[in-house]
Amino acid sequence: MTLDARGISCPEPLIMLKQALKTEKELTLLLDSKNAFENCQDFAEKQGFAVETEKDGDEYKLHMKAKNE
Amino acid sequence: MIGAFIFIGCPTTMLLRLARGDLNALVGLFGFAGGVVAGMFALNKGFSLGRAYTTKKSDGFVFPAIGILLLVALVFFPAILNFSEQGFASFHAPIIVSLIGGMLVGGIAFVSRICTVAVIRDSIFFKSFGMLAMFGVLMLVLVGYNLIFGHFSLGMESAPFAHTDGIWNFLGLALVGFVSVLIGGCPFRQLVLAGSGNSDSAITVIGMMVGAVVAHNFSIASSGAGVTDNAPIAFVIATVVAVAIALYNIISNKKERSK
Repeated sequence: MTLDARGISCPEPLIMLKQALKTEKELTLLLDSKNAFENCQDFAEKQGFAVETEKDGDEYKLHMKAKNE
Repeated sequence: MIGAFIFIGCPTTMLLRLARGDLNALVGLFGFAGGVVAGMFALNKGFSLGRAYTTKKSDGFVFPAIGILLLVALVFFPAILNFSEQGFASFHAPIIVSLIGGMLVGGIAFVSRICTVAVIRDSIFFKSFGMLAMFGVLMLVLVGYNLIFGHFSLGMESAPFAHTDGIWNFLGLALVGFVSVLIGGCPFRQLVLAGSGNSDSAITVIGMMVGAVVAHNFSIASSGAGVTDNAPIAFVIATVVAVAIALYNIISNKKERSK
């Protein structure tokens, strides 16, 4: 599943992520704010997800995968 | 702004007052936290400001340009401006000190993204405590300064520019907290963002100025003597409007999604 949170200001991306991670085991999140990027990465890691990040210009991509899968 | 005028100060002022030992500000802090929790509830229910888009670079300069024009007016044509002669707002530092201090604080605030709403939101809902630590250090420094220079006095009655009406201190900042979460940041953060070229925040700051005019024109602003007769009426109207906007937004977002 891919979640597009570009252009959305904090904390909304984080709420979207929090709700999505309740059901998803693997997720790609698109962001364009450094603020949201840091918050979301931090949150996903605390929830027990392995996070890989990519940065392309002003856009960020986070790949999250549950560690216990 | 109505809420802040009833309390006498924005959330940042609340922290400054608290650091001087003003316990009325502590009541305000509880109200503010309550408002933030209520706002988060609305966000969880689907409140959303929607997607922002990058606009022309020139749009970002509008608000800072207004600030520079006001500065020019202050330095060269002070006669066209009106100044507060009594109360909280009549106290100010010399212009040059204000300017340097403001640039320093603004720069630090921009880089650290410090925000009185974010600290409560992140601590309670996302268990992220980085900003809380930042505020902890800030409060320690402020309390230390006030203790050393003799500005600290613990209590409710002795605080300058404060009223002791607990209910209105609580409710005033609760309204500020609720609205601040919905717009994505506290009044101070909005000002910093507006200065950095965010047009949404620039509109918010202009709204705050209008709110200040309304609060003073209609005798809504509290003073050391207490809240005014008009304050409760203004509070109810402002709260109803804020909740109505939140509900309308949540309902229309739900409709949008179910399409």
